[in-house]
Amino acid sequence: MQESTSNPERLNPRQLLEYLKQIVANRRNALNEVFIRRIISAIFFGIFNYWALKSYIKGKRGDGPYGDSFRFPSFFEDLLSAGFDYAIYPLFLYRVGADHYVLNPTEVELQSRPWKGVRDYVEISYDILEKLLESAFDILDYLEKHY
Amino acid sequence: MWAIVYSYANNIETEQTRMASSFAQRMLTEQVELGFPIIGRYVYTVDITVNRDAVKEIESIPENILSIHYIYDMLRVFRREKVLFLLSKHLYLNEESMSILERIGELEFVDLRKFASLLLWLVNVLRYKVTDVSLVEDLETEELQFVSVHIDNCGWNEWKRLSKFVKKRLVEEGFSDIASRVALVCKKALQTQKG
Repeated sequence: MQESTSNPERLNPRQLLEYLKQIVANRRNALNEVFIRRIISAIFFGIFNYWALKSYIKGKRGDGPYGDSFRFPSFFEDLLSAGFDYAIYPLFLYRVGADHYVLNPTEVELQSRPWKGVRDYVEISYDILEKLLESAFDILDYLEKHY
Repeated sequence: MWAIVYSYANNIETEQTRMASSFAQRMLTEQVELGFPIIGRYVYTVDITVNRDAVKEIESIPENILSIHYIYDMLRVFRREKVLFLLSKHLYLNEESMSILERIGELEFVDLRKFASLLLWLVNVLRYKVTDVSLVEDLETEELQFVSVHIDNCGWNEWKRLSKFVKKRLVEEGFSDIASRVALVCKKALQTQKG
C-alpha cells in the first residue's frame, strides 16, 4: 500500500499514449476496428486511473475497503471545471460507443431514463482516434502539471 | 466589434446599479415579466455576428462584458415556471430538451436558475445557438454524470477555446458548481465525412 500510493507516476499513461500515437501514425492501415476500439477504451481508462491515483494522494476517497475505487462523476467534475469539455466529452462518448455498441457507424445515447436525450453519431475510425489521442494528451498535460 | 459590446455592457452595468432596487421590487410583483426582456433588448441590439472569426472573438472578449451573474441576479427571484418560460422563449429548444430542462429543475442536479443564466448568456451575449440540452449518465451505473449543452456550428478549435473561456468565467463569477456539471458540446467538431 505504501509504495503504491506514494508515487502517482506509477499510473501515468504518457508512455502508453506515446506508444499508441506512434502505432496510429505508423501503422494506420494495419489496425483493424478491434484495435481502434480497444485503444479508445485504453486511452479513457489510462487517463481515468491516473486522475484517480492523483486524487487519492490528494486525500480524496472513493469506494471500496481502501477508498481507492473512484466513480466517473468526480472525474468529470474536475475536468469540466478546468474547461476540458472538448476533450472529455468525445473521450466518454467514444469510449461508450467502443465498449457498448457493435454497429459502426452507430448512434449513441448517453442515457437510458424515460426522459430520452440527445443521440450522437459515432463512427469509430482512425480520424477520430487521432482527435481522441490529442484530447488525451491535453488532459494528461493538465493532470501532470496542475492537478 | 467587441468594443460595441463592451460599451453596451458598461451601459448595462450603469443601468444595473441605478435600477437594481426598483428591478428587484418589480420582479417580485405582477410586473415580473418585464425583468428579463430589458436585458434582452440591450443585448439584441449588439451585432457581433458580422464576419465572425469565433476564435479571435473569444480571445478578445473584454473582461467586463455583461456577466453571467448579472443575468442570474435577474433570474434568482423568478419562479421555476417563469425561468422555463424564458428559456423556451429565448432558446427555441425542442420539446425533448424542454422536458429535460424541467427534469433538471426537479432533480436539482444543477441549480436551474444558474444553469439558465449560463444558457441565456451563451445565446444572448456570446450569440451561440444552443440546439439541445441533455442529461448524460453512465450506462453501467445509470448514475448522472453531467448536463450536456449542444452548441450549433462550432468547430474543433473554437470548442477548445470556448470551453476554456466559459468555464473560466463561470469559476471566476462563483458558479463552480455549474462549471463542473455542465459540458459544452460542439457536435460539428465530432462529425466525420460521413457523419
